[in-house]
Amino acid sequence: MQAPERFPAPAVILARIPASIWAVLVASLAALAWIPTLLVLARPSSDQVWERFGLTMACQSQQFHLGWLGETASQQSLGAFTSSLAAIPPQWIGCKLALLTGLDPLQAFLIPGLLLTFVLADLSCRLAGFRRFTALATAFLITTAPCSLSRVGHLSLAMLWTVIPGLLACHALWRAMACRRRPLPLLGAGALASLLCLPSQEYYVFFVLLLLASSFALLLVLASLRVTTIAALAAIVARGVLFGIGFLAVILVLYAGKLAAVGLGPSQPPAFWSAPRYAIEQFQYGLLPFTWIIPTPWVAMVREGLENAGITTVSESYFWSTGSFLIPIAWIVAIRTIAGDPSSVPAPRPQGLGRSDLRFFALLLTLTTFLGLFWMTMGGAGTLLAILNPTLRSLNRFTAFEYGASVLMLTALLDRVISRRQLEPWQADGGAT
Amino acid sequence: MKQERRRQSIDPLVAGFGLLALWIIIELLYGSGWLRMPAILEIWQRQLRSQAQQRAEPKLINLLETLPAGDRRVWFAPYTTFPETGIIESRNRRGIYDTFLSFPSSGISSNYGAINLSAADSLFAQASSQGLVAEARLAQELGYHSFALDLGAIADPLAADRLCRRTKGCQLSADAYALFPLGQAEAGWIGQLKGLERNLPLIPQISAAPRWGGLVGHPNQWWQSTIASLAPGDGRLRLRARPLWSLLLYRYPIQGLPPATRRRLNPQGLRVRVVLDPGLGGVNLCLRSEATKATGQACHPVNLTAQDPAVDVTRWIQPGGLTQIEVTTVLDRDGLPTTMNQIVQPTDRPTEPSPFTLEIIPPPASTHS
Repeated sequence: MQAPERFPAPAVILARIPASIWAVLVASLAALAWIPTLLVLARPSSDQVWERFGLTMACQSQQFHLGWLGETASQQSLGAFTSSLAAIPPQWIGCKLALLTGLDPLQAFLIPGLLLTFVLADLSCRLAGFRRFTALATAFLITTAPCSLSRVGHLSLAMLWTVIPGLLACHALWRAMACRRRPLPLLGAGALASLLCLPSQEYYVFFVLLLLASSFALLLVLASLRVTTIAALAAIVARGVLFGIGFLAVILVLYAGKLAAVGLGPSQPPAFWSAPRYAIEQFQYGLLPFTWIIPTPWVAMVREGLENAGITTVSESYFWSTGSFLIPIAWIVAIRTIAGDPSSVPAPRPQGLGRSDLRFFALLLTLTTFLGLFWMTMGGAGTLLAILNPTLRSLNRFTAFEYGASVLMLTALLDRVISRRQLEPWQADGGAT
Repeated sequence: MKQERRRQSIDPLVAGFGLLALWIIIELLYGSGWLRMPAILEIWQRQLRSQAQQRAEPKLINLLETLPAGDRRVWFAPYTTFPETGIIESRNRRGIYDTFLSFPSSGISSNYGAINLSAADSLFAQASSQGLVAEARLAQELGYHSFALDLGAIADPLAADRLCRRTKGCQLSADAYALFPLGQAEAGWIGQLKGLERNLPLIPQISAAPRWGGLVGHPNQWWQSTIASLAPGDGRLRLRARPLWSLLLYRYPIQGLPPATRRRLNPQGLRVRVVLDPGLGGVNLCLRSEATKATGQACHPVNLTAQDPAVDVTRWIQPGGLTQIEVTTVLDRDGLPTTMNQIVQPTDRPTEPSPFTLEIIPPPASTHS
């Protein structure tokens, strides 16, 4: 009723546009940012040889889901791209698109990859309590993340769809632990959060599980500072565990095929899994734990030795990925949020996020940054992973999560600002949505 | 009035988000490549133009697709290790993969895609390091039907072009490949490849490995005292082990090879011995392969002593598989355990010390038909 007074006429007209049209408009805007990359991918660089090779082989064999398909080297190289059952639909769609349109498989894969990133980010934001507008803004920002635009050669960065749902899974865990609910809805919430991540690639599955486990530990510590009885603490733990079981169950189901192939298959895992591509990678990732106890000059000696022996030494450039000024801005906002007056009571809201959500996202950004430093830097705790499997490398891809946490911090603040200042015409208008 | 002025002033948070949106647009413009759009479009248009030009002439993939399904085995030359090194060897393209995999499935198999430092890669790279003639001979041996010479990756493409034009059955593709037939009858052109060199001669030698009689040594683990003995042929060959604690050896799988190659390799008659280096008192080895696994032991111990310096190990080296030779102990002249470092002298002379030698003895002449 108040809309005509508070908002100018164009804003009210815009508010009358249906939600689905808005989503299509914002997604088209995000797609616009990818056009130069799409054109460039028509002629892939030598860095993209792996992705193109694996995707094309997968398209040819029409088998997408197993870790490896056979004994030959070309079949084994699929291992990097075909992971869980969730990887089947995007790859299948990509292959069909390539067949129908004559696009390069690399180009064609981008389309389902970006659509999934947009749709899953938007959906998970809506479920987490974001407004329609801020959910779309989050989806837009993650789909056009500078790190993904600059490293599309490594196709995994076109698979950013896990980032926002993965971070919001931590938010869902926090909400699950905070309020009393029956076990079944808790399991369901975990399973839904997991499904939204569409866990399909090991890197991102590992990153999400690590984030979730760390969030659980952190929330538990915070809860133990506030709760006075053991029973109440145990109830919080039980709720978190139930959520986690729901989450893990979905991942296990989606990875069942691969796990069965690894566990029951007659052959050994292919050499591709245990042998890194380049000698220097074996050194960097396979032997990294030893760099803790062996002094630095040894590193230079090994590198020199490899060069002298004529072995190609190739390492990933750390300056390749583009950073974003958005991350430091989000940090300032997070610090301001945490340092803000905790006694201020938020106004009642019809929808959107509350102040506590904002504080959680600040905490999540802190946690993500800490994990990035503690686990994902070369020589950090992540090197322990190299003992298990030296092929789980490129931990710097965690940068995408850092960017995602920053985006969530800023869009959550925007959501909150809209709520508190009633800036959204379609809310005041009431009937527009 | 005062109240109205306040209402008209810009909300600092809204202004902040406005500035942030502006910054995001700048980042996006910079990061997405829209600022480089003119250059990208130029490349794109050039590609479209060249595609239109090439439509009239067949590409390599079109030539290969005219072959019967069973004959689509092609050797891409010069051989390139996979994944490619990042060095652009060919003048015409960024890598063989541009042509290698067409879409949709074409049923073509090729030498491209052997993983870096795998047994097949060692074999291909070793042949490649000896030149295009050795590559073509190996391709013929292994039963490839066509030999696709990348004209952009060799030093004198015009000479290769002329060779193709005067060779019966050779076709030139629009994407600058010369497709030679590799059948036994029509392969007289192989000898004429002699004068052709690849653009970057050092590339294949990255993983060059000695090969003889169907045995391939792992790169950088074996060496020979004379370069001449690298050429395949008859006669006993000695491969000296580098002073390493573990060495690898690969033997061709015999099945699947053309009959002539199978006869030449003659796995029944070939013998392999390990021989102690004369400067040492003894070496204890342990051999690990599918054959040793079948006997139930983790690895098969072989002890070389001054009194018994040579042991036949043929049965432990299985065709189509890798054999790992572990050096467990090295004894010096006095019979005391020593280390690899102590037997090594930093010299490039061909008399570089070695713990043991692999002696490959061809079958007797009567069985070698």
